[in-house]
Amino acid sequence: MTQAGDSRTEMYQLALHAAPSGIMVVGDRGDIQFANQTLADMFGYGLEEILGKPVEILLPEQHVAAHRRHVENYARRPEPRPMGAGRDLEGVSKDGRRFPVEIGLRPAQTDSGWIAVATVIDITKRKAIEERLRKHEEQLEELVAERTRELREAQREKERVLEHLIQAEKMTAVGTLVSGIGHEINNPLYVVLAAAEALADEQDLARCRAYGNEILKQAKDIAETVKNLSRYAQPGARHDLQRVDVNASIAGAVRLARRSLRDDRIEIKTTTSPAPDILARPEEIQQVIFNVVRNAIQAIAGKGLIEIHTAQKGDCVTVRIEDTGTGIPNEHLKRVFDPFFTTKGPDEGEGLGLYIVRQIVTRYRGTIDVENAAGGGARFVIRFPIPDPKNAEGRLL
Amino acid sequence: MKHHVLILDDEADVRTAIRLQLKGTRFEILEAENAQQAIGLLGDNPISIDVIICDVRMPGTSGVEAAATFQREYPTTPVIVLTGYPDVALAVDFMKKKDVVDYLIKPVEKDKLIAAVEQAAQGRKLFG
Repeated sequence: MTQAGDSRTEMYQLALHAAPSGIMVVGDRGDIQFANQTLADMFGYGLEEILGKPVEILLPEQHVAAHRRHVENYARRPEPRPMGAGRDLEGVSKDGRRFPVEIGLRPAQTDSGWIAVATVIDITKRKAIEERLRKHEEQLEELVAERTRELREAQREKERVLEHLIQAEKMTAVGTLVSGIGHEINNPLYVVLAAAEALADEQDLARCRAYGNEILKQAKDIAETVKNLSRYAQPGARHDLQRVDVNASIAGAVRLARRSLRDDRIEIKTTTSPAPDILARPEEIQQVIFNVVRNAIQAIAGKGLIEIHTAQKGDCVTVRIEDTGTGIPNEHLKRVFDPFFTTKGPDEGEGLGLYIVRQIVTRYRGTIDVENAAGGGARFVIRFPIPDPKNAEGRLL
Repeated sequence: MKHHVLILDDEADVRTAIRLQLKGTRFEILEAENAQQAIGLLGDNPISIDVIICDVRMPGTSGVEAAATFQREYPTTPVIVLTGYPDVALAVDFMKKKDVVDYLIKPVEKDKLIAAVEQAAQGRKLFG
């Protein structure tokens, strides 16, 4: 070797030993033929302690056997392996400390056989950072999951509160009916009482029979009234969907609304045309109509008329409810379906009536619109979709 | 002289019930389905109508207005309110104004109605 060659070799040696990665050359029998200072330091050995030693001294005991197989495979099919490729690798230092490493391999053919140049990096710090990151991610995911749970719970709570309010509103509506209902029940009950009293004193069989028939007729009347009322007061959520004749719901709602009227100042006129059944809870459809009609009643100051009209239009049953009341100021048209929006006094409800209407209608995939009619009153148009006959028994909700 | 009870109620069934309950008493029944009819009957039989039985909730002129009219026009003819719509405030109001001598709730029992009618009719005698 020339002087220049010596100094170049020295320079290479210096560069190799100063490299930030551990570098070693391993022979095809797995012996360490060269190692740089960085590698020796990484594993806690002096350079002379590892040179010529089997590379397995740098491996934890349980990895040795597997490593030998790898070396054999590698000797048969040597090819470069980039850093970080393959499994998580571990090294063990002279004092037994195990640490994660990343190893890159580059095979080379020499006169004395195959060698592999191995580049080794201690990735303890990186692993620790990665682990911290993973933990942060986990915590973040946990936080997100927790927050989602909280939001869901809040949503459920909101729904529960609203359900209570809706039920309370129903009861308020029932309350306004009670006065009418009292009249509706007490009158026939009175006839029942008087006929029964007369029956007790009567000798004539024909007259007895007439009293009995009268009692029967009035009792049936009372039963019908009670049936209507209890259907209205039931909480809807517990019932399955049924085929509902919208016209029958309208008739029921109108009967209830008439009872809440104290006099005949307001006329309720219904023009129905036959329409296919929709799929809904009957009491809810009745409530929709009743609430809109009640709203109309409250909008009429003196004498007035409420007209209800049904028709089948395309794949919808359309219900139009028009009143001769004061109408709705244009700036309120968009807000009448908002919860707690009311222009009425505190005795006339919480302002949930039309909100409930829209809730129910949209739940059945229907629509409700309101505008002021030419005559000045309000006109509500409700559209309920007619169920697909192929799927008529299916669930909408 | 004949004794009459005038029934003012818009519901025929109720008028029939009252008629049934007063059957066999000394009173004959006159029926009116609205205030105008009642006032007409009162004009025709001012002396013989001993008691008016009057409903509260009726189309047109309500029982409240009718009772006030009867009191004004025929102050010696007692009015019994018979309502299917119990309302304490309304009852108190009636009593304060002395428009009515009794306030009964439908359905009323026969004995109670007869007693109220008799008592009202006796009261009228004191007035007269």
